[in-house]
Amino acid sequence: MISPPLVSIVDDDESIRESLPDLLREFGFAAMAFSSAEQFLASGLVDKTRCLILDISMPGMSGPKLKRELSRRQQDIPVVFITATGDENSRINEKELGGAECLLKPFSDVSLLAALKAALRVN
Amino acid sequence: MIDNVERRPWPGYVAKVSAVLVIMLGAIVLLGWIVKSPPLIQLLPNLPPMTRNAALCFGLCGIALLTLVIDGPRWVVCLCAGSVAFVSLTTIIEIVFRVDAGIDELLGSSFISVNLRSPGRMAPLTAVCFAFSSVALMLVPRPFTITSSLLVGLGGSIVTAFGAAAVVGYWGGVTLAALHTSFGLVILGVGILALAWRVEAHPMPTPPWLPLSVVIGVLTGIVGLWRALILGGYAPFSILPTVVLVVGCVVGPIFGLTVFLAQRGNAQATALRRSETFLQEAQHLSRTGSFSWDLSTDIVTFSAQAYRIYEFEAGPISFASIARMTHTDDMLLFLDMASRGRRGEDLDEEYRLCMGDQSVKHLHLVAHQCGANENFEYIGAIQDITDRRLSEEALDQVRSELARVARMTSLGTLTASIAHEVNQPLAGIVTNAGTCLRMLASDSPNVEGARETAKRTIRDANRASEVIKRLRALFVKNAANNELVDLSEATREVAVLLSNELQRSQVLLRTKLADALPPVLGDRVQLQQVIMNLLMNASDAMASVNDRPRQLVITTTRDHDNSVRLTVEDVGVGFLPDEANRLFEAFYTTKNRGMGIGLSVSRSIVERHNGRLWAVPNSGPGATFSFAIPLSTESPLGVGGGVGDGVTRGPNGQHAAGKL
Repeated sequence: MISPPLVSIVDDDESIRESLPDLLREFGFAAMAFSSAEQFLASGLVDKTRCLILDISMPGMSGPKLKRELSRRQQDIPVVFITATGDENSRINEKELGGAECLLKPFSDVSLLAALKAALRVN
Repeated sequence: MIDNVERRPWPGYVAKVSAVLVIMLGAIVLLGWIVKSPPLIQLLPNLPPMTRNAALCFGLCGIALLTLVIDGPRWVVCLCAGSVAFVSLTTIIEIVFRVDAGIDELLGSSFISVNLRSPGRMAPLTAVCFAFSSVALMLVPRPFTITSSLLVGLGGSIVTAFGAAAVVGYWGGVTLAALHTSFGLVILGVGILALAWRVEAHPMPTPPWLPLSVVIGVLTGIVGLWRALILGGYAPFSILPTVVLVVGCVVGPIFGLTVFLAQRGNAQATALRRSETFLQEAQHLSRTGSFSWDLSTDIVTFSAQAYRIYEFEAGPISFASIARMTHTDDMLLFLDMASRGRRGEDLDEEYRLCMGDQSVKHLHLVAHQCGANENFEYIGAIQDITDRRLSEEALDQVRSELARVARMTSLGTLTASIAHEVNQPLAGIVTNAGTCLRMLASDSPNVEGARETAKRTIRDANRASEVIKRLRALFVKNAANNELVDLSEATREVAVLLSNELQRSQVLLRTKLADALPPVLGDRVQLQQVIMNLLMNASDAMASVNDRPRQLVITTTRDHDNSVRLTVEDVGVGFLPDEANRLFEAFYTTKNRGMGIGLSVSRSIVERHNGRLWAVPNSGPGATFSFAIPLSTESPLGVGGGVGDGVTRGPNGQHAAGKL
């Protein structure tokens, strides 16, 4: 049996870390949550991660920084950004930055699924 | 003295004219000798002729004088004047020692010998005059000094006086020199005198030797006249020569004194003019005019700059015409100032003028009373401070604009901050609810999982509600209570409230609270909010500290400047010195979860109590936050004083910020 693709979540907000993995499992993914970029990089799951749900503003390494770091390591994992701050304008900026989808919190399960599918299809 | 020499133009012209006349005289007479024309040489047959040497000397002296006036080459002067000196001195030696040096007929034998003692020889007076002239001309240095011009002037005066005496001497028939020689000498003397006059050194407008020179000149002339009278047959101390001598001796010094007094007056007038010019220039530069106001006549006298400020035509000014210029809005102020002036008070006021073209001038007037009793007047200064006022107004405008922009920016930041705080739990709620639905909607509903997500939904919703509550607590406008607050006691209460929280965060709280601290007047709850905020900040700052005890020290003391101070010291992450000011900006935060409002609101509360709140980084790890509240009997909290406005800084805000 093929194991479900792993989606990793990096967010400093506990609510997201608790709720998102359950939702992702409902979608049929495997899910792991990390409270910081550093924790994710140290987890050894970077290679296995098929898609990354990434909070933009975090203490320590921010979401876009983590994405750049992964690009530098030539581990281009598709990313879906999520953020609690920001408006339409900054969302466009993020798209320009990484070409990745960006969801504004709170987001619906449907839009999350669509973003994940889009991100996985690109790669 | 030597530098700073100014030359007046007219003595130069006089000297030039003299030089030209003398050269012409010498040339004409020499021509007369060459063409053997007695009228040119002796004018009248019974008069003594002008010798060739004298004519030559006139010519040479004239050339030397002219060369000096036009600043010609020095060697010309020396050559001409030197030759004259040689000729005249040799002649004097011949006369004195009764010898013939053979110089008299150097230019050819004399064919006219009317009244000449020896053929071709100059008269003694002529020789002496030429000697003086030539020496004086050679003395003229470049540049002029006062001493040399004194000597030159003396020489010129003597020659003039001798010449004049010789002219006068013809009436007694005592003069041996030719008539035109005498006139020539007068002209030459005047020319040399004029040369001396050219020099003018600061700060003396006229040469100081002049009075003396006048005295000597007059006396020499008188002595010459006296001598001429004696030669003319008067006994030395008969009436006429004695009268001439006595009158001359009295008149000479009087002339000298007169010239001296005139000079001194002139010098004073010049000094006054200079000082007046300085004053006017200074008034112009500083845009300050002066005035006097005679209260008995109501007539106002303006300085030139005051006329310019008021844009008045020159002429007498009445008090009413000044009052008319005053800006309508400042009329009451002006009239009040005037009435105080009439009572004899010193004045220091700013008011505005409304000019003819409707432009407004800002003036600063300072005046004080001079003189005694009813007859006093005001002396004062008015300064045009329009430019300063305008730039101040522009500055104020920019400042308020800046404040407005800052407020708007803060508002935007506030919105973003609130959005962030609320969106986090909302995201959890939506995700949990979505998950819950999906869990229940599947073929085999995951009820246990759904229950779990529902619980989390409730928890996140509570969290959101907490955020809203916190915001309301910060922003609600509570009516402020005025009561006597013992800061030590208030701190103790907060410490008890927070003890559980601090224990959980593994913070060791040490309190050093002063006993019998004088109470401050203010709102107890607000001050406790500030204390709580400082304690929680300190605790948060130490959350990541694991290598040392998380020690928090809270101190209350009475300060020397009659205020009570509370200090919270932590060993946390601290802040950089250049962050010190930003700490108190609304929405500035170093925390991951903070909204950056606490310190800003705390400062606003403290400032409403007329106190100040500041922070300094510790020399070791951590930071120290303090606030001080003055002991005052007056109520610091005005009507509607609350915590609502977290952005506004109190009047002490700048001061406190400067302290950091």
